[in-house]
Amino acid sequence: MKRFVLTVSIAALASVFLMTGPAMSENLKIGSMSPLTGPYAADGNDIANGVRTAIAVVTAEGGIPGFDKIALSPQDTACDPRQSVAAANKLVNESVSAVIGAYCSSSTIPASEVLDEERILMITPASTNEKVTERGLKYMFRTCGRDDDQSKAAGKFIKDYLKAKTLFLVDDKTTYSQGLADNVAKEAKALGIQVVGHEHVNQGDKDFSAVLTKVKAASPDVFYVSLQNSASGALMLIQAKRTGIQAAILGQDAVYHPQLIEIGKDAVESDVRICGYETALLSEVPKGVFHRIRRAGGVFHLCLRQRHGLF
Amino acid sequence: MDYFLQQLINGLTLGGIYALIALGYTMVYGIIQLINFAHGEFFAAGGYMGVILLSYLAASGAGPYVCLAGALILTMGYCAVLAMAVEKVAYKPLRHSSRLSVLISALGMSIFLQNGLMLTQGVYDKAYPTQMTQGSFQVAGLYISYMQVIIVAVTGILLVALNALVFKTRIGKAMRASAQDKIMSGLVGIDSDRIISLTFAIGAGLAAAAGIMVGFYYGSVHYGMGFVPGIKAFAAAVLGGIGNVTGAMIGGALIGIIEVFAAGYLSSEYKDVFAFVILIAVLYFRPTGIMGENVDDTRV
Repeated sequence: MKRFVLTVSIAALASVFLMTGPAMSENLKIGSMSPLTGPYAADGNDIANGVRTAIAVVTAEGGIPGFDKIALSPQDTACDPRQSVAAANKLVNESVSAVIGAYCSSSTIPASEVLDEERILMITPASTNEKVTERGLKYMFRTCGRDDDQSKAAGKFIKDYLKAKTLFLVDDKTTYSQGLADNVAKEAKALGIQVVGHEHVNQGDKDFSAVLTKVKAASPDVFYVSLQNSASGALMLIQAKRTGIQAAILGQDAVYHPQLIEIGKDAVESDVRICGYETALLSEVPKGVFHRIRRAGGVFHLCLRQRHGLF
Repeated sequence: MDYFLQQLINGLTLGGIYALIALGYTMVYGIIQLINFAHGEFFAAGGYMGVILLSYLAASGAGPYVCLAGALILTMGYCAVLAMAVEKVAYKPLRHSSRLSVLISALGMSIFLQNGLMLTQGVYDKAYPTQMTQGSFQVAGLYISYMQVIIVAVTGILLVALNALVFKTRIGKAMRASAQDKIMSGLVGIDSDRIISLTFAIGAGLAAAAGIMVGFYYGSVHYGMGFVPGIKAFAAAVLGGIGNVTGAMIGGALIGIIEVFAAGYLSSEYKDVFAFVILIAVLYFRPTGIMGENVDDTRV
């Protein structure tokens, strides 16, 4: 009897090592962080949907070896640093393997500190501030360009291709948009271009008539539009056309969105030049609207109508 | 001089929009002493309803101006009904509570409507079929778009019509009577609940007209578009003398013009600052506004 008990006990103990059994189903969990509500909800939902699309594509191609499913936990940051830290902590608790986001650099930076401490990979598709990847964090990466590169590209473009002598800038006072406009102004001055004006508008403004009348009075060669939101960009371009501004209009990467064309219609079709980074969006720009898409200087793409004949 | 006149035209267009929204604030305040913070959302809802109706009307093959007029009237009707529903749900049960409860209810309604629009209409801006009313003409070096003319004209027509309604008709008389003394007007057979409901409807109808014209003028609508113009229109109503219909029209035009001149001659950074500096200055130096009468505190 004693012997029997011992045998059973040994067998029971041995079973611990046999418990692996058939392969268990395992999910790979990733998080996304972007403003799903508030003024940047449009861009924020683009990011969350982009991650969903990427998951669908990867799954359709056979998924990630070792995992049955990729699960997404989308978090709302509302472009608010405090909420983004809370979202990062939530994702840490959900033990995600990686995070895509955030949108606003001011949200990405504090959230990345939390995630880096937990050694969770963070990849931002949209935060262009230099500091995002310049703090020596091991787990922070970016797939988008940097603001300092973009201003150099814009300066080069204004001088070499548009051969402009005067420049007027408008921004909407966010860290990103104003920082970029300031850098472009600095770059332009260094290249000998006269900055005839630099105005600031408020985020979410719909009426730009006053500032555009000012731009018209200054009659610059180039009008640089640095807004945080593509819909605002479209409004500004429609109104610029209505005001009769003759300047070449240059935008940056935040106004670079299909929505710009949808709302702006022919106001963006005729006289606008958009300068942004190499992004996935580029392939979605309807070919009929922007006739030419060219690489220039290696840093940015240029979309313009053929009749300007700049290339 | 050209610059001045161009900015004046810009300011008048904006002022017309503010005036239309401000009327709703001032009429509602006049009758139940409530700052209806959900009023800006009627403006946004009007903008959305307008673009939806326009797409149906355009599909039916009507001409552009027929579409515009049809959408304008139907949207005004829709928002009037919406406002009556809001009044019924959020304000009427609180008719005899403290003013603060109603005010909080109004803020809650504003958040509810704004997020409702976001959930049903999506987070992206909705584009307007602006090609319908596109184009501008030049007069002596000034650029004036057709839409600016339409805005000023429609605003003018609505203001004249409202003035006639308030000061020339029996309904208007009943509204003014209810505003002065609800108990007394009730004693002479005026159903004040109906009058209050009607006041909400008219105010929201005007805001809806502003919403649809803003959609055409700027090319798109957004679920959050009601907030800032709502607050500025509130400033306009206070500037004109809250509770006073003529005052709201003058206040709206003034706020629009001042804002544009502040942006045009100083810096566009200070555009919003000026609208609110005026609000504070009026509250400090002349709380009754331009057209305001002395408010009798004993009034119910």
